[in-house]
Amino acid sequence: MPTLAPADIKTRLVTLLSEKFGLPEDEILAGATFDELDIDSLILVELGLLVRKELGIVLAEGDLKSSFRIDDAVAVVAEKGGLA
Amino acid sequence: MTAATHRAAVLCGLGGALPATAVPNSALAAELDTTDEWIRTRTGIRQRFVIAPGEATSDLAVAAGRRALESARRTAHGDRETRGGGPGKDAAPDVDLVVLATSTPDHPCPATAPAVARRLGLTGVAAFDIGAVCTGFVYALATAASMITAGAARRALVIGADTFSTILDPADRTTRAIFGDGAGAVVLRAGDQAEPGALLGFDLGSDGAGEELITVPAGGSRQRSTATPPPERDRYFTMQGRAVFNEAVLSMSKSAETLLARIGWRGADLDRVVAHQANVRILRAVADQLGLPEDRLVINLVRVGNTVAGSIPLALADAAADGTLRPGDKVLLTGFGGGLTWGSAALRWPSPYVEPVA
Repeated sequence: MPTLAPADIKTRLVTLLSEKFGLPEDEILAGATFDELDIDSLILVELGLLVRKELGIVLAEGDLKSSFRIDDAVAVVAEKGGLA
Repeated sequence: MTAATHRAAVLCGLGGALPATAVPNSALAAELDTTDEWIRTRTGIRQRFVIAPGEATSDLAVAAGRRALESARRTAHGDRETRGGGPGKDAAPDVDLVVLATSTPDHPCPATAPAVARRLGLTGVAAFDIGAVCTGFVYALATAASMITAGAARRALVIGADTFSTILDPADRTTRAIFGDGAGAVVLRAGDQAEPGALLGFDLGSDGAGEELITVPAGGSRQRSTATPPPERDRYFTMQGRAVFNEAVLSMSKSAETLLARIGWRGADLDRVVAHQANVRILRAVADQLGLPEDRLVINLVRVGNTVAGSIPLALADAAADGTLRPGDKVLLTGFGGGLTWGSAALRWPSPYVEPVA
């Protein structure tokens, strides 16, 4: 697995959130929390599973929180992936 | 002995059974703080079935078992057309083993399988229950198949049956929406690994660290030894939904990959994946993990919900009856449930005669 920079992780997460779950990219990038994006409770679990599949980084349920902004999620994924 | 003869258990009969009463999402919305839209978007389920007062798991197990035995009889006779009349006198020839996967037995003691066997005209055969919650059917299939390949049985009736409506908290809008009652059954016979329907391998596993994610806290020895009545809610089934979702997807995907590698199949070659019908979003996530298009998934939870041990054989029966499963298809079964437990099995689909499950 090639080393990922946080900027790469951010790009991948935003792409997953907009393409897989139809969340508005501009609002994600503007710093809206997942709560403010009005996601349902399963989307963060599904996102975590896609991170495992696409980035090879395994997250536990609850690592991604609905109070997070995109940069918080990037930080957790980078930490779990040993990249931070 | 030639290299071509490898004793195997071969699927040769299949049937399912549902209770008479369907509960649509609208009925739950009228009673609980939920909506049809909420249930559909979170689970994919539109209705589930529940048994009537006084009915029991064995009633569904007997109905599914009878249909599987009839399916085996008609399949053996090359009878692919629907004909009138009930099961023939020889509906259960040679069956010498009944394995029932259930977590909702008729009684805490004894096992339900002997009563089911008797009602199917199989008094005298080996009969026992297996408990692995939603993975129960795969565990039962592996057990029965292993007994056949070991020569301890010639022909087995393997049933998955549960009535979770009897252990759900009436006030829990989440579990009430997800779970339904139902049963499915298959007949296995001794045969050769090269035949269509031969079970080609299994992967089974467990992790007791997740025991509390899916549980009925009270009613077992841990609580009863205290000799104090449990709180009302501890009598009911509880599930930690998001953690279970995560574990279910990871466990089924890893188990499927393990089995595929063991038997030398590539994921891309799978024609159908029949995963435990837990939640349509879990099924889609499993397809994502396996890199498979969603159209490879068999999905019947829309009309039956999560029927626990009945789930996989009921999905097989629906998919066989409507032509989704075609003879020769490479089929992977994979389940996940309380325990935690998981398991997978693989076979090439045979050509069983299967009645639609009404």
